[in-house]
Amino acid sequence: MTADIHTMTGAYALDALDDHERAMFEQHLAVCDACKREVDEFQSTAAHLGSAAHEAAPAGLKASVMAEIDRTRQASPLRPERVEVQPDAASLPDNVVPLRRPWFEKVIAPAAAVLAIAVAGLSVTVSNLSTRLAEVESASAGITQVASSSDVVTFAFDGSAGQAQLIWSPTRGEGYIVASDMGPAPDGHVYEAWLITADGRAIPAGLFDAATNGTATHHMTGDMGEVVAIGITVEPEGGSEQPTSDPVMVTQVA
Amino acid sequence: MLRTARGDQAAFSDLYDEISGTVFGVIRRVLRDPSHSEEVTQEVLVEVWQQAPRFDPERGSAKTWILTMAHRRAIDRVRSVQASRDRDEFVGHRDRSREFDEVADRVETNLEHEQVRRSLEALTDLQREAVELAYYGGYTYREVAELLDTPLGTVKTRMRDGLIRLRDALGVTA
Repeated sequence: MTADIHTMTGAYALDALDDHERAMFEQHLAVCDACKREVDEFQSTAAHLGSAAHEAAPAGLKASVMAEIDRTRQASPLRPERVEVQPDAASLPDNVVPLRRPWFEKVIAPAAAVLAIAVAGLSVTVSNLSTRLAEVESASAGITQVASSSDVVTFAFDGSAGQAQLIWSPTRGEGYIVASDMGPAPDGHVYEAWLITADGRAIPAGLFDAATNGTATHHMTGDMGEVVAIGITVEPEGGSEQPTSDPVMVTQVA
Repeated sequence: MLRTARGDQAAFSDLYDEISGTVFGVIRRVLRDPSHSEEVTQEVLVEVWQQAPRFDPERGSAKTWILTMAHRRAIDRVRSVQASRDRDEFVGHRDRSREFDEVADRVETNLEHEQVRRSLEALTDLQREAVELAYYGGYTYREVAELLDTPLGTVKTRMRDGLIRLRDALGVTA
């Protein structure tokens, strides 16, 4: 998957990509409006091909389908309302405001400008990402699942500690941080991920460390509804309840 | 569709009458086997019911949404069946060059059928074969490249070029 990724729209709309390529291309679709528009048109075109194959459905089918939908609950519309972080990560009560949180404020303030930069950087990193994803895929089949969900979004982290991407599926309420050339945390320390909310709270989102070859994957669950950024800090072993240092990586997500 | 999305079973019953033949037709084209096709058709229609609240009209029509889902599920089934079956045997019994015409006598010929037939005829042979083998035959573009003895990149671009011409010929907007 290199420079000609845009030509895969046709094969994608015809369902002619294998499962792996399909998942990768869907990541690209999440960030490429031109491809998304073309895919929408092609799927509409393919629907015409489908209509031409019209054939009466078997007689008894309707009764079975109607009986089954009677037993089947409908899905809730997209955009889940409740914020739910993974169970072990207790969020602070609304009335507890940490005294100093310089980097969260920095993160929240120029959101629009920083986001534009993050998105611009992303198109460059997508092809690298697919290579990197392929490497970690066998270890984390879950990443592929997230990457292949229809609403997957990806964000590139900015920071000094290496390169990392966030892959997130709002409907699944889960995602991964996938890093490369990120050195292991200093002795006695770990990396901790934080969900930063619009009102400036930092919600712990789990601890991880990088392998000696510089790769790291970290699974997170929760609702991104109120989250505007995700940060990674270096914390003492065992983690902290609130960040004790500036982030080594951060990305805007809203 | 909007009523279906709000849990209205009578509305879904109307939607069923409108769309089930096309859903079954698409799936039957890809799967061939009637009982598999019926099973997948049922799964898809129940999924339509289940996912209706998430249908996004801005991405295209309800029909496109449903047929995209139907084709995808049929392809998924083909692949899982093939995984446990000899691919060559599966491929061997098919007429590879004329996927669209093959069941023309079985499907109900209608205006749309005629229009699609004419639009397909207007493509180059390679564009038409690539599109038909993928959509009606259920082959991946790698398999299409092998069947047509054509480089991968060429097949990929012919699929796209073919769809662009079909899109324009059929007056599709999105």
